[in-house]
Amino acid sequence: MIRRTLQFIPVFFGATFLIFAMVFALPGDPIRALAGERPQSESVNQALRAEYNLDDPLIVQYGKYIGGVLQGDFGTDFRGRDVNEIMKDRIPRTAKLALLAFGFEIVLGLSAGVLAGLRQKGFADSLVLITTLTVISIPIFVLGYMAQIYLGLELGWFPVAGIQQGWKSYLLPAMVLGSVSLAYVARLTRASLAENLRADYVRTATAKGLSRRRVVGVHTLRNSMIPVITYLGVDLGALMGGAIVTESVFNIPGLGGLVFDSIVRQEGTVVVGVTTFLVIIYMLTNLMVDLLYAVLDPRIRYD
Amino acid sequence: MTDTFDSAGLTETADPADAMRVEAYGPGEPGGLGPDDDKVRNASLWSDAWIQCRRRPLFWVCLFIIAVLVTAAVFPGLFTSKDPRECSLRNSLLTPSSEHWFGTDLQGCDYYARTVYGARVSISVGLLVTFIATFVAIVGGSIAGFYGGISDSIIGRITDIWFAIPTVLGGIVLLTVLEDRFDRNVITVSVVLAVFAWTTMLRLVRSSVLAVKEADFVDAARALGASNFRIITRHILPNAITPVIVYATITVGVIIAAEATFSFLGVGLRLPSISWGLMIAGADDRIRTFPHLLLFPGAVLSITVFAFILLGDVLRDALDPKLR
Repeated sequence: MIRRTLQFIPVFFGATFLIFAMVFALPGDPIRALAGERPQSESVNQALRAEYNLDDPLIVQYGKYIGGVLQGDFGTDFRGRDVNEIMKDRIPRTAKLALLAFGFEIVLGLSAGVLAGLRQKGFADSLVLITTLTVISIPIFVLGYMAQIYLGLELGWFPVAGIQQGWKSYLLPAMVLGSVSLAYVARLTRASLAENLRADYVRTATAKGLSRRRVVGVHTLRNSMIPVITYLGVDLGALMGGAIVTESVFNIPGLGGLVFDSIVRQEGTVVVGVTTFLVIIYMLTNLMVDLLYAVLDPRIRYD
Repeated sequence: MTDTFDSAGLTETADPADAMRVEAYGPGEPGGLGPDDDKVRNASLWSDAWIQCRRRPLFWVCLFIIAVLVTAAVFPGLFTSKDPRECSLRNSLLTPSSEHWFGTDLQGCDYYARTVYGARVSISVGLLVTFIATFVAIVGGSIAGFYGGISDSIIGRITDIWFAIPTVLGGIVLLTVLEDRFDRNVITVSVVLAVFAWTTMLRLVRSSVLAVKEADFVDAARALGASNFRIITRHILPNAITPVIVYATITVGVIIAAEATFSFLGVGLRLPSISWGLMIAGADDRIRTFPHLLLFPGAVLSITVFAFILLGDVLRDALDPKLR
């Protein structure tokens, strides 16, 4: 377990450095952009460059930056605003969206998967297989627009866009965001359950005279959940990062919109801040899942 | 077979492998167990899979859709005589009619022609990215799996690092950064997508190679003096490639969706390129009044993705003996 956690460290630095390097290759000189049309004296330019460590080699810049991040400080953008402050309002929105989507995914995905897995080749099974495949095939922005038109505008069940109506505004976007993962969870649960139901230990349990409820509920489900939980763990982080598309369709001012605006305005510090934050979330959920493994399946040991 | 639900009557043979072949051939067809038993025993995984696939209507449906798309990508002129770039503002935003099957867009371009011509971008990006990613995955994965030790650790960590960056996020940043130096065209978009597409596949190749590496025929080849390169390319890879092929087929579909998403977000291809993602992005504000602007490219895009993902599924069912 300790070894697994240690492996996390180089990956963390590698991934954040990659992002840092990518973003600070962003075109344009931020200091000149700051001055706009007005010519700025060379001494001011130099002072500013020194303040933002722009003359250091990339790796030193990165070192100074990541040192701050590790203390929870995502730096200051080129207009002197605190990046933490900029992100503060946005994070809860994206988090709300992702968590709600995650909730849909778990509840609906697992139930559909279990339903299909227990009655293989039955009606429910075929229905789940076809529906999930369809949902996976429709790109999320197409799905988002369709949900917006039909469920939002035509039927009027949900608010169409924006976040004026509190948590209600998040329902439809969350369903759209979670739909693809939901489909994967259902398929994964189904496949895993079907495979485990054929395992020898299930036959043993049945032969011992245990009720089907107990065989399925206690023995099979627990073992079938291992691949599903792996997927869920990877997915929670991916949902936060993937929310960009949903946020833009439904006009939710979350982290995704922030990344976009900042790229356009060449505010590299904000882009790096948000991206690094999302990558950290993504990696932490992955790590947690890896550690959870050992609890779920005693056969897996990290030593 | 341990399968307790499946057609038990067919699987009562002593040897599970034989049972599998009976199933593969189907009860009524010639070529099951019988006089020409030898022919059956020679059946390889691939001919078994072909026999399985051939019986499934879904397989032919997917192949048909893909064939139509590839034809449209290579010879769009076969499907429409209209020029997708010949637009007249007089025809702006017409709804579908016999003259314009899919209606027209804001600029008055024929929407059906644009949809047909859009196949080229999707198919070429999908295939190109999958090709690059699979190549990287096979080279890296076989080295990591075959040699193990330090090369495995290095390749493993590099893969972990790239895997940790969410595709949409990384793609947006990278595409924006590259904009200054390179044109936004099919090649740049494909390379950026490929940069994020290889990680899972590499892990797949690695584990698959690890599993095959211990086989007796590998020892036999080595005893005969075969070089490492020959062992990997001639003996290990052909036996380890099946999961990669299945995954690559699905990847084509996923990448086509990703390209459309990037173009939709404005970081992928740009006008005057013709891409389904761009068409949908152009429909943005008018979707309610002119739903055809969303529905046609959206539906064609979804069907394309569907065909590749389903084909991957069918192939997996046919190639994975555990599922039979």
